[in-house]
Amino acid sequence: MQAQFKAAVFSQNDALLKDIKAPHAHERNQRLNVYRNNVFSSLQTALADIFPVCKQLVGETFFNAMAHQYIMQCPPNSPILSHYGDQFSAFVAQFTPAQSLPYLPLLCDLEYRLLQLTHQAETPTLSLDMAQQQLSQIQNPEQLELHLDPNIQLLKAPLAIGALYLAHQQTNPNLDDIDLQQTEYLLLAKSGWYGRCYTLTEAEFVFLRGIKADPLLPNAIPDMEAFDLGQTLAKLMTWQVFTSIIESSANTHGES
Amino acid sequence: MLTKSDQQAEGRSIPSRFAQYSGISLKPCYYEQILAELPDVGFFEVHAENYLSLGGPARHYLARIREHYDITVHGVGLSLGGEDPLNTEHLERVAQLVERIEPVIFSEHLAWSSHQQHFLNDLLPAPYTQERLTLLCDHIDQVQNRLKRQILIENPSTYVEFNSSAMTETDFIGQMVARTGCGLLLDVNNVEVSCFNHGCSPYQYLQSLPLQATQQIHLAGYVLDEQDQPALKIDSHDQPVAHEVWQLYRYLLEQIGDCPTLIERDGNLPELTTLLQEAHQADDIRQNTREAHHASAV
Repeated sequence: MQAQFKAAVFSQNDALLKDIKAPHAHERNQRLNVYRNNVFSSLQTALADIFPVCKQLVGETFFNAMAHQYIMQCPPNSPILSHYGDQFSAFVAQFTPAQSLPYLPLLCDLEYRLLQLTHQAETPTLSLDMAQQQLSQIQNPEQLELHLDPNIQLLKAPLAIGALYLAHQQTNPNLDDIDLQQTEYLLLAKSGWYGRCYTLTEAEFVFLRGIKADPLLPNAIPDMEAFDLGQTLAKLMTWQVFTSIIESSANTHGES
Repeated sequence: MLTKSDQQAEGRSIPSRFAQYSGISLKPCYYEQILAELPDVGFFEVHAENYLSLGGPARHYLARIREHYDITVHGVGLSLGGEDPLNTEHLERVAQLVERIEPVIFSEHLAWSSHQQHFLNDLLPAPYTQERLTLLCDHIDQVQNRLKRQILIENPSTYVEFNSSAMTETDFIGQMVARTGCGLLLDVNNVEVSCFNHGCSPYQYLQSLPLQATQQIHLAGYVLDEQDQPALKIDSHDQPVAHEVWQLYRYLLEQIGDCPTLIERDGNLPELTTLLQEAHQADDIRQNTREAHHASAV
């Protein structure tokens, strides 16, 4: 019976209709339509909550049509709807009416990542004051280790989706200054209870990638003229992405 | 099977604010205002599935609001009325939430929402057969055993009835309560909606239920869809409680006495004060009920 019900909701299959009490087929369909509408409208609303910037960019009508097709192809696998939409970006990339918006799948991927980050457990990170204090206690910068929040993500995007996303966090997005063709380097990190997106320079991105792989500072400094260590550290400490700033324990043990 | 007396034997008494004053649905847009103003309300109810994350604002704010208020947890995703075995991974997450929040009540639905690996995000109707009753009771037992507490099951709002049903909805609910020892979450709006949609009397429907099992009441709003014939009432949870639902609520309390009550709202969310006013309206009716019962007892 459930298989028939699901088929009736998703494909207008009418095998279920004979089991519905009503004087005629029209009324059976009318009653079943309430469930069809509930399933699709509630999931369209859920997707709109997960991909709000995507919805703003394409408009409600386009978004709901796209979401309807996605729901048909990929119904949720979990009752936890904040997980829903993991294949939305790939779907949008293949969705013919959205082909004129090449940035849209990348933007959906960014929105999904940020939502998952929001729902991850918070890691205690250093406030700006604490980070400055720990940094001031370092005696040998050659042994300085910068430990990052393990939740952070680094993203290199071929189009300016970070700028697009950030502009839409304002009440009246100003898109005039955004060069969509610009390659972007993004840091996704948790701030308070929410996943946030920060734009980086290429040099900062390379530095953070290095620190993520090996926390020892000298090993991570990129051989790039544009890199400014002081400015980068100040920015990262303000964003509170470090869990600790210490001198290499291996060396400390060696000295003692 | 856990009974109410088992619950009492384990030393869990019903907290007074939950018992005395009506509650409202907890929604993210109200978090900050609730913490800033600590409004006069009996309790808040959350949907379990919105609070299962390891982090994020929902978990944070629920913990803070829990410091000040009783909480009831209302599951919408266990699919207890379904053909498939329960999703034990999901049940485990829900159990962890219940252990963390220690709600006054945990409730779920007489409905199904998952089929095989897919979740349909709606409370879908089941045929009332002996086979489905056995499955439902097994599922309720499984949840009560995992949560180590009695749960409440909510009567559904429906738009279809099945020819394959072998008993009435109220008989089905009566047997469910008798076999599992679960309590009844009586959604008065659902009674109004279902009875209107199926052309029967909501008062007779109430009289056919095992009303002594009622431990919580839900009041909500519906919309009337008259675009087609017959007109149908849709359980939308996005409107104020309707006049006839208030009337039915008064009648219900006359039958069973005072009962903890929730103003349930999920969409078209108004100012917090509007929901609080509806909760106070329920409190006035409950107070009259208490006084009437007290007078008749004297």
